[in-house]
Amino acid sequence: MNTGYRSREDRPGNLPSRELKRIRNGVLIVLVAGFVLIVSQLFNLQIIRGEKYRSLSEDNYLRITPIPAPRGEIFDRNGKLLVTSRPAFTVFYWYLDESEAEATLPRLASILGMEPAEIEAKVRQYAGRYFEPVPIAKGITPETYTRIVEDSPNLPGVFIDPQPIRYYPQDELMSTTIGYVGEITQSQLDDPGWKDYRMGNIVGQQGLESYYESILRGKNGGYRVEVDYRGRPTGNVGPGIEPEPGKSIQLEIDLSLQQAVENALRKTLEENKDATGASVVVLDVKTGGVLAIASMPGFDPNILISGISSKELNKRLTSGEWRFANLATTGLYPPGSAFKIVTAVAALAEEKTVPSEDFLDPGYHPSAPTLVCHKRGGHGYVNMEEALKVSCNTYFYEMGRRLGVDTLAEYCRALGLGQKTGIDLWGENYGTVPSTEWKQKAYGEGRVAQPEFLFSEHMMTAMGQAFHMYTPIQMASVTQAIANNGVRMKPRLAGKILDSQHNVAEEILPEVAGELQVDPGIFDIVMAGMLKVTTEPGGTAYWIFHDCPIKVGGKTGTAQNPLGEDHSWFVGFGPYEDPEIALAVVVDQGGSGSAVAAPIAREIFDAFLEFSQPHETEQVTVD
Amino acid sequence: MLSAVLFLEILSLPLIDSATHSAGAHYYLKKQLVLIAVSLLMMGLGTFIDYRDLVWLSPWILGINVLLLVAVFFVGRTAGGSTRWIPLGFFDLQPSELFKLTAILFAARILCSRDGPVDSIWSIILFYGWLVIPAFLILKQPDLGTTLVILVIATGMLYFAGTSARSILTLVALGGIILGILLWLYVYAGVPLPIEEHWIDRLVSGFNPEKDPLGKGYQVLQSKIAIGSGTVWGKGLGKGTQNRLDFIPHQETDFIFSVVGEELGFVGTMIVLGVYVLILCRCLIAAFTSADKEGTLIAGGVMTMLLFQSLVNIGMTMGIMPVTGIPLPFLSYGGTASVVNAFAIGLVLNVSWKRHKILF
Repeated sequence: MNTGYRSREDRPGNLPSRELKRIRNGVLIVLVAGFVLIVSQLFNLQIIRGEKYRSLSEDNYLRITPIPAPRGEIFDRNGKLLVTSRPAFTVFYWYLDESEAEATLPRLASILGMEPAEIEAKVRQYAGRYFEPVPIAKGITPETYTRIVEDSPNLPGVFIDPQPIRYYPQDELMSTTIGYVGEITQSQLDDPGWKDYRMGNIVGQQGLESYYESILRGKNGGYRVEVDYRGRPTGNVGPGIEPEPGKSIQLEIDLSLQQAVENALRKTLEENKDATGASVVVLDVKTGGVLAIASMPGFDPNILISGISSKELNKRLTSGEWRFANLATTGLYPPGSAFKIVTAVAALAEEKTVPSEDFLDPGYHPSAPTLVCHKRGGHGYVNMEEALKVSCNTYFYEMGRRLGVDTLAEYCRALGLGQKTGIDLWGENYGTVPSTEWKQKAYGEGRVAQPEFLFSEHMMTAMGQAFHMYTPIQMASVTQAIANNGVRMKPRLAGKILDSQHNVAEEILPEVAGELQVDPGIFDIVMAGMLKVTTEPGGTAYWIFHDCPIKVGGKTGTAQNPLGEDHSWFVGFGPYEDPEIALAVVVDQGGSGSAVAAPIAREIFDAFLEFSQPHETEQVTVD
Repeated sequence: MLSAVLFLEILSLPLIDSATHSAGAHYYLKKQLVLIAVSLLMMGLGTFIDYRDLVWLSPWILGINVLLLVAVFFVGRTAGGSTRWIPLGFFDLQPSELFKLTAILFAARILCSRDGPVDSIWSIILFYGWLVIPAFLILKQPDLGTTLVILVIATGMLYFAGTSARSILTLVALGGIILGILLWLYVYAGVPLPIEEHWIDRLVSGFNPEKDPLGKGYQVLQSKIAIGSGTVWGKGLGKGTQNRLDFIPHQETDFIFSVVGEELGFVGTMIVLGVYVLILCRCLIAAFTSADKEGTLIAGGVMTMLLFQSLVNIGMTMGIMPVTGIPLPFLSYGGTASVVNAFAIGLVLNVSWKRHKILF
């Protein structure tokens, strides 16, 4: 290689000094420019935005592994347990890597009797959160437990840990009101109202569990866990934050009364195969406390939350064995003759009649002969109390004619109809109070029926037929108001909120929902009429109540149902002298009010005597 | 300068140890200790050899190095998708790293073989001619970073040899245009060129890592978080969470500076940058006070190499330079590079001492 180069040749070491300076300056410009750029970016990252990046780095490596807070319990008014939590063996899977999961998951699925895809879907939900084990199945049986433990060498990443699971010691009792818990749904997670919640959280999904979610829930604790870049725990665990247990709730419900109510309803539903459902609300007349509330059929929350397959659930729902709807607060029924107590109040308050006025019922209304009474040939001369006792249609047609639907509607609203009663449950229905304005809207342009209120419709609304639609709790509330001199109390399920030591943390005081200010004597007359229903021969419920140990006021109703059998109603209160409870009973397509709903009411009053006043009964025997 | 280099070498020990904790038993720490010992020996060797002999021998060195680069294709070890290393049992030789030094020596020889600066366009193009084959071999490994370093070294040495800034800039512009045409041909015309798709991705994502934080931008974003989270004083040696929990890929090699930033903070990075400036200035002084042209060019070449590598590497960890696989001299873990850099520093020391010898 001849390039004319000699290593030892002495060559002028450097270029002329002017050249050197030029080169040096050029190099220095590049050097300074480069380092200024670097230093300014370092200053930007570390000094100006340092704190932001510090917190970003903490987000990177610190994770909270939650410790679930024990959920609050629910008690009846005497401290009897209705809802609690108990430890249940839960199968967890800790996802480590894909190839391992491919081998493990089908094996686990076959032991648990689940579809592998079902488990994979659960694991996928936790993608990227390696610091949290995925709950696969809750409340497994001892047999499954043994099988998993025996097969554990083939099930890497699978472990079993006791986790609190909701337990309903009374099974189906009050299920539609108490509700149930379940994993938070995607649509809930998308809702900003649930922003404190995370996937996998167990939340109340219906009834009281849902309404009092924020109280029952408590505050989750957690461990700060250090994770590496793949989100795997490094084993370094930071300080734990103890969970704050949820508060408990003491209901106004009386468990014994509730049981009696449900037994009566169950018996009725078994005997009446046409009946599709039944509901009862029993209110404390003075406070509005809900002493019993039932809607049947219900469901078994223990079976539901331990993971029922969707196929099995559908089977139970379509067969009518299970039902989630709470008919007591959401079921809408025409009130039928039970509504006559409202008309009675309105007619007396508006002075459209006086209690002593005798009105002749020839079996039909003279102005509208097609409107007949249920008794062929009529009841003869009846006054207000008598008309209530025998549920005379003609008398109330006349009251309707005198009042007009719009005046009647004012009294409906004043007694709380057509509005939510304000009970501590979600999804209560409003119902419909008919009026000329309402009919104009509902049957306005393009509808088949006439938007004008017909003459006969004014009369029919007075006896609870024609357009009225109310929930059982609304009718119970109306009865409570009548028995309480027109003061309507807001129905309340929860009476007290208890802390984790079960000391009273907060008392939920009775609230007046509305007051109908009329002459108290009016209520006395209506109540006297209702008493005759049960105590005088000829009263529609006399044959059920004639041997009742306490005097109760009541009103039956057999509401015509264009879709099937009549709905069977009974509203009532007792004891008559100083009313303590007011109730409404509805048997969906049960038939006659006096034959179906009234016997249920009778059983409830009997139970009320037996369970709710033990002290008084004791005193009576001692005396 | 010796102490500055020693400072960085010693600093690299805890940094690499902390960055490679997962390997266990301080495996990399021990390797790095051995490497430093070898590096110091090589540095000493560099100071005693007459660098003019090396320049004289450089055609042979070039020949051997090209052979080694060819050998890589047959016996090379592959890691991270590229084949760069010749396994020697106790040590993996990386001929492309070696070629940085070879390029300095051979370029010095060419530039010394003629009088006056290389200034005409044709002579400049001819000057680059010998680089085509080795550069292509390195690019094929594939190793874009080292290819760029070599081109920059050659260009820097042209400048040190007296070529005017205007010519150099013209050349860079020309190179840019050629590169642009090649890219265009590759991307739009589908001409099969040795271009890796991910180079383009990385070039782009390096500047805007937030755009694809979990994909292409992940590394740079995590590196920025690491550096930024060090704030003023850093999290302390071995306590950087970004580093220790492996949020930054390649934190012991190309992304070692992010460990400096995270664990030592702004204060630490300023000190490290200061040490680099010191080393670079010493190279510059050696270049301009050298007794002979070979010394000027070697010191200038080494300076160019160190300046380019440190700027691009540090810039890339902060998202202001494209991500190219260029290690940070003296701090990054890497066997051949450590030894080559140490030897290069030895040569620069040699150049600056030779000046004194003349005085005797």
